[in-house]
Amino acid sequence: MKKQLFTFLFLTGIFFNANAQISISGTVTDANGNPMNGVTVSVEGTSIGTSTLQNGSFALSGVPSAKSILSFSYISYITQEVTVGNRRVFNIRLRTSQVAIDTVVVIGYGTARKADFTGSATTVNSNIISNESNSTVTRALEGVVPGLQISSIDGQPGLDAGIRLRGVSSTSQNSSNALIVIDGVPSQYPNALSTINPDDIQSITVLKDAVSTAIYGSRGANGVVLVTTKRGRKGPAKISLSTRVGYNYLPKDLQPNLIQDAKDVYEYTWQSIYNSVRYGVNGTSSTNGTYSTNVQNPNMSASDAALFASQHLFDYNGSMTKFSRNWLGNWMLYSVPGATYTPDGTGTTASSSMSGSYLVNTDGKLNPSAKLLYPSNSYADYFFNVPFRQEHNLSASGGSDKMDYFVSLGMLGDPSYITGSNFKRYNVRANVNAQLTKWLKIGENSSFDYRNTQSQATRFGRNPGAASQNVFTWVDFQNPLVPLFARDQNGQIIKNADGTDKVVDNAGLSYSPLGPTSGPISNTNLKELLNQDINRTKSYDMNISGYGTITFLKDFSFTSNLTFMRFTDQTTRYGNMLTGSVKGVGALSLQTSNTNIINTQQLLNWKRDFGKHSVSALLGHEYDQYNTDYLLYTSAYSLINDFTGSGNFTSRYNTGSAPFGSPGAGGDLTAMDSYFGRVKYNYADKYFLEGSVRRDGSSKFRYNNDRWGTFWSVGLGWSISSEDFMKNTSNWLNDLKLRASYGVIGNESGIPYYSGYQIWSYSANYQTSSSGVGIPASFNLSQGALPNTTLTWENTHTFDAGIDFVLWNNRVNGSIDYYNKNTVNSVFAQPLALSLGQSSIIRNDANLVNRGVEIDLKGDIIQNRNFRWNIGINAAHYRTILMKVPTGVENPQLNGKFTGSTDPWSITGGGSTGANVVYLRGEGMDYYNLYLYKYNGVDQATGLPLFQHTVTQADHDNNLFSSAAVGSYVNSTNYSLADRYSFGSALPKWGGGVTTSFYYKNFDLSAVIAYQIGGKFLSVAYANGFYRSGQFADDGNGLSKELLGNTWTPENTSAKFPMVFYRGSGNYTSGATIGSWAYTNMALFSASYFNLKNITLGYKFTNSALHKLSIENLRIYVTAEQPIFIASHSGIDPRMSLVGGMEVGAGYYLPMSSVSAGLDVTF
Amino acid sequence: MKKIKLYIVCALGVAYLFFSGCSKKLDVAPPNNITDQQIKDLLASGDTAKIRLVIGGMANSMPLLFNYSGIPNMGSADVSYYTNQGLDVMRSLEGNDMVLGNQTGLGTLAGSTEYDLGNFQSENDERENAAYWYYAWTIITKANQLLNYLPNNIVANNTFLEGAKASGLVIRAYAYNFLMENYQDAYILGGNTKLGMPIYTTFNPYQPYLARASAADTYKFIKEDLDTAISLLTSAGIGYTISNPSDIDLGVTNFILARVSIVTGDWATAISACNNILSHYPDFMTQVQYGSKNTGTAANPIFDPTQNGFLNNAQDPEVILGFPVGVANTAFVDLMDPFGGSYGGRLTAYKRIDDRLYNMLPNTDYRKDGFQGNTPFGNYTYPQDGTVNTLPSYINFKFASTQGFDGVGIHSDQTTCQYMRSSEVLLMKAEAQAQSGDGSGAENTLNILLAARTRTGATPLTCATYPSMAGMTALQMVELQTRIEMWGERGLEFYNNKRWNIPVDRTGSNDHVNFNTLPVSGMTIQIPENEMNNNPKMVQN
Repeated sequence: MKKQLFTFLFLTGIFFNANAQISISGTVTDANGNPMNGVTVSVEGTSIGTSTLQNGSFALSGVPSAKSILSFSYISYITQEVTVGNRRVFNIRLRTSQVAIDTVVVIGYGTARKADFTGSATTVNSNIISNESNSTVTRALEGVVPGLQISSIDGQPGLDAGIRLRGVSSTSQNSSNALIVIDGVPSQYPNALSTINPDDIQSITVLKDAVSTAIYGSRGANGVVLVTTKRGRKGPAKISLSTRVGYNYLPKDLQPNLIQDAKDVYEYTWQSIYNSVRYGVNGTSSTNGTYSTNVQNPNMSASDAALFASQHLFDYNGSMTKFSRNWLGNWMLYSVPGATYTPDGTGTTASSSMSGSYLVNTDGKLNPSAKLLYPSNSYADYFFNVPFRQEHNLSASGGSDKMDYFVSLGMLGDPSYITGSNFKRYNVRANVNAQLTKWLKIGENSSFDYRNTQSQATRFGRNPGAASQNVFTWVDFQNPLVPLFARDQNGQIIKNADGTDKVVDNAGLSYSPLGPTSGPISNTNLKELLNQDINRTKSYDMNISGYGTITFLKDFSFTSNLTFMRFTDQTTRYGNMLTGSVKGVGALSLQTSNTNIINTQQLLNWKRDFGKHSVSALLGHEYDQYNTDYLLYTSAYSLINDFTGSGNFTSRYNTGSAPFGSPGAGGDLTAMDSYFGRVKYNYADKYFLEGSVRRDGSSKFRYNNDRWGTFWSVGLGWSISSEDFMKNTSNWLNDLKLRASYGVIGNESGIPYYSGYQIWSYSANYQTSSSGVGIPASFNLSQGALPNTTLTWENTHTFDAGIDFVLWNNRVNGSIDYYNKNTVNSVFAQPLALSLGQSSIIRNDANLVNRGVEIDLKGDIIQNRNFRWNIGINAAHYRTILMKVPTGVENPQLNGKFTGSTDPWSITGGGSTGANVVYLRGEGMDYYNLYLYKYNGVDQATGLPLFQHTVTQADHDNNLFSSAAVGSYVNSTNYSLADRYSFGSALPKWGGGVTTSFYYKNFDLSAVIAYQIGGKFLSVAYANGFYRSGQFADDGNGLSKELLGNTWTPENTSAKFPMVFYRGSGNYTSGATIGSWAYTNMALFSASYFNLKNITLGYKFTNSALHKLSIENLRIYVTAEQPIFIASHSGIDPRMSLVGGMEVGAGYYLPMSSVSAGLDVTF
Repeated sequence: MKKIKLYIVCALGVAYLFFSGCSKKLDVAPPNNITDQQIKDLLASGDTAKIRLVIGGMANSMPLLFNYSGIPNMGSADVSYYTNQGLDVMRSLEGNDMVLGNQTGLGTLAGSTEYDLGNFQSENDERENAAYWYYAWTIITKANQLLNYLPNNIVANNTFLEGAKASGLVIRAYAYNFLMENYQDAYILGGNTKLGMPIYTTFNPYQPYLARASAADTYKFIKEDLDTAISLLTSAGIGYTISNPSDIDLGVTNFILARVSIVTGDWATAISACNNILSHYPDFMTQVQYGSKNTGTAANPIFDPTQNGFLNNAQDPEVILGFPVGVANTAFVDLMDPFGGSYGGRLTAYKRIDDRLYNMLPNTDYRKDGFQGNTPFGNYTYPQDGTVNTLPSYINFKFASTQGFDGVGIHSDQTTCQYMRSSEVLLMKAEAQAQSGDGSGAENTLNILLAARTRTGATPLTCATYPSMAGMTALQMVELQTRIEMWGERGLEFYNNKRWNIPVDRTGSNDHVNFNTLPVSGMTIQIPENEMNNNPKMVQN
């Protein structure tokens, strides 16, 4: 009955209290003795409470009994709890939570007192997490945890970023992800952190060094991110409501700065025609394969060329005799008084020359009397929106001596600034713990959430490049003159018969005095396509965990738990019948994929103090099974448009031009069985010793003999400040601890699931005579890669030395860590010449070192009655160096070095892959050393780009560069002679962040900044797009505004960019690229950035009227998420890649910013 | 007492949970893939049907390597390099006879690097060069995987296994010849004294790298494979399976042997191999079957692929190797069809004939109907997305299609495909005759083809009456007729130019849009970076 009543109370959230009995009073001061105003004083388990006055005093009556517990709490201060006992006056001194050395930190399979802890870990508390307006908590970690980097290929809301800690411990990014552990259970679901409501998170602890991660054995080498959700605390029911509404947007300064004004487009085109006809070779528009131009001997006078360019602005197409519509596509956005248009060319590519009056005069400038009919670049205006975002959370928590609970509901609607991209999430969570008897405690932690993630409906995942469904293709790469809506002679929008605006989804739909207008970049009605095409994943995430803990024999406790996680993703993809890539057909795919994780742990803990000696030990067993499956249905040829019911689709085995592949099913299964232990010893709180060992068995290895690996660590700590000889420093040095740890940790991420098995693939040739139902005519069987039974665990020998300090009356604290992570047998996909039958063989023979330093400082700068200011600064530096080159990869032609290809991070879908040369690697070299062609400025004789070449003996044999010594560098306009050179590490020199909070009376202002200094980012969008000066407009290419007035001419010889030619010879006149995946350093930018991640201004009401309304706390605030992001160059976001950017394609999706207002109420 | 009991229960519980390890659950075989053990079990079963299924399954993959998509490191969207058909078309663009598009400087058209005679030879061209290397080595790997299972003692006299082994040997020989024709100077123009290819006869990525054998030894190896295959096929009773053009039979084997022989100047073997084939393929496509005909109007053209011998093997009595709809790759038609929704049509990378070659065709030669003349074709609306293009002059109808095989729909890329046909065999024979000094024999052979290509009702053309061949040597006649007959097919012009020492020189053409030149020395491709960087024994050309 009692239980039922309790449950009732719990569910309704209403509690009653007994009558008042005791009156108390007192004052609350800060560490410096200054009185504190507005401190909440409450009696736990009741609704009795008050707040302190300006002089810090308080008085409280009705305290139930001497056993009552008083709680003194204030934001960013450590809450103090005191039992009433016989005292009636309480003078309390609160310490800021910045100085939290006594706090308990969550570690692997348990908790530790920060003071005892000999490892390196950073804890992020819930304030920072809940301040930010993110759909995934991963992004909140950027800049907050020293040594942690995040990266995401795009700005799609609802998808996790990858987390990298202290560099890569393996030779591939994909096997270097940090382990995510949620409430003690490793979550291998690739999008795990986006499933959690950030408001449910109590803390995130990031474990970095051996002694903290070795307990995770073969999964610990990349660091561990421990997420702990909120628990109920003993005390009265606390109901919290937080709500936040605002807008998402794309800041203008983040976008690439492209030529999009019509005036600039025309003038740039004029210049390209002028150059082509005056300096082109053999009547062509540029070099005619000669690597030279006629700059020294122009084809015509400047005035003739200028006149020609003005006359033939729209119909010069590379030939001075045959005219047709050129890259301007006959788009005339101005009316030019007095102009006469003389038609030439034929059919759909007819155009006109101009005479009488020109759009661009012979001085290369727009005719001042031309009148603009309608503006260019209408796609960005239409498709970039400022959508409404909202986030609401409601939670109830509390507890008694025997039971505690936390229940929450959450909702997030986080639409992107582009149409067709959206994220919604609904969460529910219940964490309940009950002490059933003295010796038995049980509990459960369950959550369910529903996520709806709508991504752009492209076929090509998160790096869709030039796909016609990619909005960024249209905004950045389409001819900026093409309007979204067709225009008539007066520049007015042409209407459809039904009165709607007519979309330009084909050529010839708009008026032009010159001839038929060109179509858009793809003959697609993007407006309709974004409304109708679908790429939507509905996800249902269930996470249920239960445990029981028995305490026995005084010092022992034993916990057994079982967790089941299931992540179901149901993806619908649809291509409509009316417009787009499956016009006239209609195509559908339905995919259900499940990730199932079963995890059980048995943990035996023992702890005993012998005088000054304190010993604790843990013995554990864990079994973890990870199982995925998927089922894919695809079909095409529908009857009814915009209807995705499967009955609307007919074909099963022939999806025609449908883009969603063939139906299929599959899945994977891996399992791990582990035994582990940990011992901690503490002598007099001065000397600390800790060790752990873990033995893992993994199903990835086929044979039992190869299956088991042992990993271990030892950590030492010395609290110097506790020594007697340090006593006289205690006035300024509150705490000083040295610590060091060493261990060998493993990693199996790079091992294929079934490495010991040879896999065969079986397929059929289908006959066509059976109505396309797929009856095989014959069968094909083919052998996969040879099995690799020699593979074993990667071992990372990790050393960490750190110093923790607390200074000046606890006002400043910090830590400095040095680490050296040496992976001695890294899994390396050793490239093979394809003539051996495989592109690579995985071997355990690379040796990779990550070494670096981390500095983390926090301080209370100002602490007085009305004004407090604290600041935290962190910085991290590391290098990733290849120490041992795997056998057989040394290339004698590269002096024993070798090349590496793109290394995309494919967590939840990633960048471009391919065997493209991106890095030059060798012993002792930075692992991400970029290897590019080198642009050496403009050749003053020809206006062409100069490429660097290293002279070889073969050159001399062929009478080339005879005057230069073999091995010396020369420049050539002949791009086929260009050589690649090292450009240094892509990794930043320093990265980190700043957190700061100001409190003035009831106002609070906080900010989080992330930064990166140094490093390199090759922008493929620039190299293969925005800097390709001779490809523009109709060619499906946008150009950077930097080119305006900054391309070489005989009059402008100091220009940065080479001479622009109209459709200059392939790619080879721009200097940015010389072929497929062959980019120069022209678009190599610094990866430095400054990111004001979040700034929040709040006000807390302390009106006693609120207390009468049972409102314990009321705060309103405004918050801006990523309002300022400054990169070294416009239009790049170095966070899209941690390895140099080569894997980030063009048409990239920049992340969004937001501004919101919010309200937090606690009852 | 109660407490002690409880402790005992707890201790037992703890012990149970600890020691009931789950190590047996670590035996995880791939849940969704066939593994080697399962294959071994089938082979060890002694059940002939099962063994046939395994070996036959591997052998069935061999002919499909002639019709391959999935070339390593090439994106599937990039059909020009992902499929061997794409590679063939790219080679065709590197010659005199095919024009790409109708405007200069269209660097964005698929194939523009090739057509512009840009940088497709150098070792660091990952697509334009390396795709060919990867394709050939993929074939050799797959063939060696099959041959690993078929040593002589296993094959013994089992006719089924003989046929399977022959298919592996034939495709391997094809691939090695493909490498030689791309990555070395023409054998008869000095390439015979240079290096060939590393010769791998087993699949094992753990084996040491090999150095390049000499060109002579490489061809010795190729011919041995082909000779062995012929005797195996003969022994197995697999002759000329005319009704099934999708298998590796004596026709396919002799075709490769003939090609290898003319490449290496072994004229006698070439003639005998050609004769062997021709005796089984006496018929030629008719005027009706040769290329697509517009059965609609100029404004609303209809080109029916089912009536075109090049797009429907059922209409082509010449086809020796080809594949049916569904199996056939579609990249070729995507790239060639001016009325298709893909590169060759809607995306304006038209494949047009050089007017210099077109003008060599007399009106009585119906092959002239395979091309638009010197006037634009006019506007055509592509049903895929409503694009309207003005199709230019000299576009081809040889591979034109406006509709699907079923007569409806817009999937104009649904066709059969073919890789070997008897007209080419006839031309190879004529070349071998001309090269070996038998000029009149060559002309007689050519006359067979010319008669078959004479417009209905006209007097059969002969070498003597073919106007544009007046004054030519027999070899020049063969060269011209090969260019005409085989226009657009298999990149043959490029490979033959290289052997015949004909540089690319577009001077005098009226419809070429790019006049870059390519000497014959520029037709030898460098060994790609992937091989140079990884195989320490590899030597660059």
